[in-house]
Amino acid sequence: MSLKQVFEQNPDRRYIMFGGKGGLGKTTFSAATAFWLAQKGYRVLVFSVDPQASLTDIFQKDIFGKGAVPIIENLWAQEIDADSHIKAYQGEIRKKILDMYGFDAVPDEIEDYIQAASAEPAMEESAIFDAVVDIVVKGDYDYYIYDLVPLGHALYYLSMAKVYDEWINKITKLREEMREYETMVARIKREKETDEDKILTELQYIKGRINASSNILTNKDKTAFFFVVVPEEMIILDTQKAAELFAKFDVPIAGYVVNRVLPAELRTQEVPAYLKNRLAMQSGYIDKIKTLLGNQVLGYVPEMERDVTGLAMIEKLANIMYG
Amino acid sequence: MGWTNRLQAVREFLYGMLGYEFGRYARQAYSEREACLITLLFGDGLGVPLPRSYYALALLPFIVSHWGAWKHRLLRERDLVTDRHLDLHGI
Repeated sequence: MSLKQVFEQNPDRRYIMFGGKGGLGKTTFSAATAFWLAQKGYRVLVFSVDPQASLTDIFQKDIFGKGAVPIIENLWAQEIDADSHIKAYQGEIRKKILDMYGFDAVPDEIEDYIQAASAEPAMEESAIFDAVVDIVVKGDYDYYIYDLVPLGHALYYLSMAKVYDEWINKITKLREEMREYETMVARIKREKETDEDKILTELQYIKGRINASSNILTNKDKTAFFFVVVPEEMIILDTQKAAELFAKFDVPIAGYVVNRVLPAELRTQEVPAYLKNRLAMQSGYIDKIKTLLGNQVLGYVPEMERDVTGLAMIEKLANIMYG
Repeated sequence: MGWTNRLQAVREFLYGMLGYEFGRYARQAYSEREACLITLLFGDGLGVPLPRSYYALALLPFIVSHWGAWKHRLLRERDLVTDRHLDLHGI
């Protein structure tokens, strides 16, 4: 099966991820896929969760932290700026405090706490995670293409939903216990029932959002995860290990795409020994990929004559991948 | 003394005899859990080494009015002898 057939036969799969080790072509494949889908008339958002995102470079347009930026008709690209997401979040919290208590200013101690939040490195990752939840839950587009971070980190993001879910359950349980004692006191004193619990409501809201997004991402019918590999020994070994790990997190692996394949016509030409060796090496590893992955390989993408940046090259690659 | 007052007096007597202990226990259990909850959420604010949680911040507005009491409770000096719970908590 080809990549194109996978898309055509699974029209409900609207969340597309390309994953793999760093530098193998995740961003280029994301951009080319987004380009192809947009040309077919779908509304497509390609977005990056990588703090060192390269969508700006590939589209040759500064999009970092600018929200969804239009690239061509039907195609938007977004690079999440964790810092500004955190700032906006802090602002919301401050506003809520002022509104709730009628303060003129947030109390010093609370303000200190809010400010310290942006200093924590884990906050940045959570902010990106939350921004993705935001994008997915809103549902403004037909297709969402994730330009993922390198493997280990991608797993971390995927596991974050589970970590948060457990955290929320723990807090909710404690809060519910408090609630029981509160009603007990009210009943003994024959007071009217206590008001709706705002903390529980907020926890349920957060849980709902996180679950909605992680349900989508682990749903085989809605999501496709493609591994990008290149014909090199270390990459093949690492990808195999990663695939096992990803399976544990219920990531719906839809197939593999092999990148950087040296053009076949080189074999028939008179080429220098260096290139001859590379060709021999690659065909060995391609055979290995074929035995290991068989029909899970959805495409072989050749090494291009130059790096893929700018719309003309993206279009060219899209034609090769989906033509 | 009218009937309503007498009824009220009986009610208060019964509450003192039966309900007060329960109520006290429930209030105590409540505030223990509250301190625990706020510590889990914002303990790092007082130096408890917890990883700061992004979503905890969303709950901060609801905690603001309890912050002072919580801090006082957590940081106050404790005397192990007087802090021992010698009552039966209504059980």
